[in-house]
Amino acid sequence: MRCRSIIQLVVCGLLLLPPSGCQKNEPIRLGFLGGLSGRVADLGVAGRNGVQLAVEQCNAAGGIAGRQVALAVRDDEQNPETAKRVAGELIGQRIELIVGPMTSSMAMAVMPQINASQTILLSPTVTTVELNGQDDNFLRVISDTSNYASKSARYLYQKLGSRSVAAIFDNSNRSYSEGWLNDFRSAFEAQGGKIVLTKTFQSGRDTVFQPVARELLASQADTVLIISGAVDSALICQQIRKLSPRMRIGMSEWASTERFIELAGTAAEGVVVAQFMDRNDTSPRYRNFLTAYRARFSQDPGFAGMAGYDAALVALEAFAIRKEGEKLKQAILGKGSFQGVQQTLVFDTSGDADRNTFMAVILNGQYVTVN
Amino acid sequence: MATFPLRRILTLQPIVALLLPFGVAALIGYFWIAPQIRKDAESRQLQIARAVASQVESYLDTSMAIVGAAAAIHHDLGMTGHNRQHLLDGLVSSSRSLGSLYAVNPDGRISSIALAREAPKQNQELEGLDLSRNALFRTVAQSGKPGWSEAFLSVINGGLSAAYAVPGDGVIVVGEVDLGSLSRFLKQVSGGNDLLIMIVDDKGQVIADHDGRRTAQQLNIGNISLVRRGLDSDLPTTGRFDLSGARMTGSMIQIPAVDWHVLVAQKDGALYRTVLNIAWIVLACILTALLCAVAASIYLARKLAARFDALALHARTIARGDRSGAWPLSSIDEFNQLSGSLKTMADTLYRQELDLRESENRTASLYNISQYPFSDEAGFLDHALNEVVRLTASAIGYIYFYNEHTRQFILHSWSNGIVRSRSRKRSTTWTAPGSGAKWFVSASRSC
Repeated sequence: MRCRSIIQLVVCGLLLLPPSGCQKNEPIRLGFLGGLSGRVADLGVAGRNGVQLAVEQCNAAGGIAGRQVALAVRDDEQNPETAKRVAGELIGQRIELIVGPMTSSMAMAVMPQINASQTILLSPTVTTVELNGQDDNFLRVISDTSNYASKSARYLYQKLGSRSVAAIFDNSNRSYSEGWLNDFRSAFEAQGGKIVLTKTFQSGRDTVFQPVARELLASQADTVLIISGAVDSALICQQIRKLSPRMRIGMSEWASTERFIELAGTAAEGVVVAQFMDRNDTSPRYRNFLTAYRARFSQDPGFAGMAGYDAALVALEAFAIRKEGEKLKQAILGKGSFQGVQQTLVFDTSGDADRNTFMAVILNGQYVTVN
Repeated sequence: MATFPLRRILTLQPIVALLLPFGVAALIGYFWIAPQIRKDAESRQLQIARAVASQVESYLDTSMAIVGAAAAIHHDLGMTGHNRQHLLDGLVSSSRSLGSLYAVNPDGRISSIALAREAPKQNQELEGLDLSRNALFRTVAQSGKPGWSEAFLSVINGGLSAAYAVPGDGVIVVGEVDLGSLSRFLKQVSGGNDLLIMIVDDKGQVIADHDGRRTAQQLNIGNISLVRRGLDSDLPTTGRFDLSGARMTGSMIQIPAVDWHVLVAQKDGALYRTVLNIAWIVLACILTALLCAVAASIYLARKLAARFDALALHARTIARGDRSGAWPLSSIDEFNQLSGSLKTMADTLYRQELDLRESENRTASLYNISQYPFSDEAGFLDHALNEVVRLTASAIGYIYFYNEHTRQFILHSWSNGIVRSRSRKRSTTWTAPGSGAKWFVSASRSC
């Protein structure tokens, strides 16, 4: 009888306790890390919007096994110290997978703490070769810089007749930009071309480009190569066009956002860039994505928006297919290939993906795929 | 019918009695007090939103006036070159809201520019910059009317900006608002309390917020139903929504001059904090009281049930025939009455049982006497005397002869016990009674 009374007391106490969350109904937490403010914000904002769209569509469709997906967004401000701090915040929340960062230097800054944790970093746009072929917690849905740089080099040399290049790159994202330039140099020089001048700059509000544009043009190179974000690339283009309106300009895919065309104005005309996004794609999958993105954000996604969306699709599918006790990385690499908006993304054993790339030229304010 | 132990009933009853009123109070609170609090909060938020909208409008009015003045002076005086630069520099330095002020030629190139910060080298670089694909420039150039931009990534300051453009004589004068200043301004308005204050453009993109976290991040919150309704309507709207995983209540109002909206919101946790705090305190008190009540009711139930157990045990003892123990007593009147009633009932039953047994014995004795195979009258009388003595559990017995004529009892003989106790011999002479005479047998418990 005494035992029964104690049971009754315990049951009464439990009934009076506030209901605690059942893990089955707790949301799946997904992180996003990217530069959302400052000069590279267009890349980060588009990436975040792509991830946000995928998450919202997933939740609208009922979530993953009945669980909603909650997105925790952090701005790395394109600053390594900030990136480390906010990545630490996301890791501290026991988030299993972070989509991001959007730039290579931020990836290099946070990788030590990512590898020391259980969290997976799945980047939409980081292309540095420094993270190639490593068995770590870094995965990406994009090819490394060698793919874009070598394609650009070959196109400039073979199709446009470039023989000498004066290059300028952003030192604040050195992991990416220097690697990109090196890959370009290898491919371009292998063709018979030459890099006649290399200049660097530190992206910032007070950076001025007119003097360096003069130096680039003074090198007598037939092509100027710009490896930087959209705002800086637009300003450099404008300065170069002011001084030499017909100068051939190539740039890295980092700058090839929709904002670049608006910021560079007519100076963007004729600029060539290697991209993995085919804006002339007429497939229903791409058109549906484009329509949904425009309806949600009142702007075009650009490559960063699509890459963010693709990365989020991979992440969400990995959450859905993984078996009990299986890690997300195992689930992603185990499946190997995922359907993206425009391409099937195939991961190798170290978590690097391969994408087809296209050469595009800006004509009449549009990216036009030419090769 | 299902039966339950008394102590369980006595334990659960006070819990139910305690919980029921609090459950009713909680329902009333949920369906009546909470909506009332929300309504009050929405009303308060609308007042704040109106005040913020008015102040933001005033804040932007200054920018609009400066940009308008720059365009008008340029138009009136036909200023060019050095003078125009001085004019722009002077106007920007007099404004606390403008980050830059510049004149754009019809071909979209900046002809002169003034920055709020000291950066002469940048001024030179920015002059001649091509803005022909800037959405604001194109809109104002086509319409010929002043207008505000949406939030856009500015090539001038390298971050998110909002700008106001006024067409002048041969130029379009554009002033970019420093959104950082707008955020600081909103922070002052919010007073550092729990309020979330945002300025949202007509596409649902956050232009500025009170703590600056969402400013410059081009966060689009147009998917929130409240924001969508607010953007579609010129009237104030209120409602609840989720933002960054938090449930919020907010109100939205338009800033007519710029077609932006002010969203003032509060987390539900903050909205109901006072009530929730009180509720938690009350709940803690209730829980404490409940635990005390449960403990007390268990103790009292056990005590009361133990009394009934004792009563039941005593009744069982009596049922087994052991009447030696005393009936349990208590300080509870009703219990004592029940105990007394049971005692009376038991006594009555016992007496009835004795009477019944005696009657049964008597019947059996009479039957024995009548069935006794006697050979002579004396033997029969002896047998009858012994039966009577046994039946009545007497010590001694007598046989009398009653003479109806004389109406006298004559002692005829007596039992063996008298012989032993008084050393008297039993008469051996038998006289046969005649007609009108009867034999009587009597017994006594004492000699």
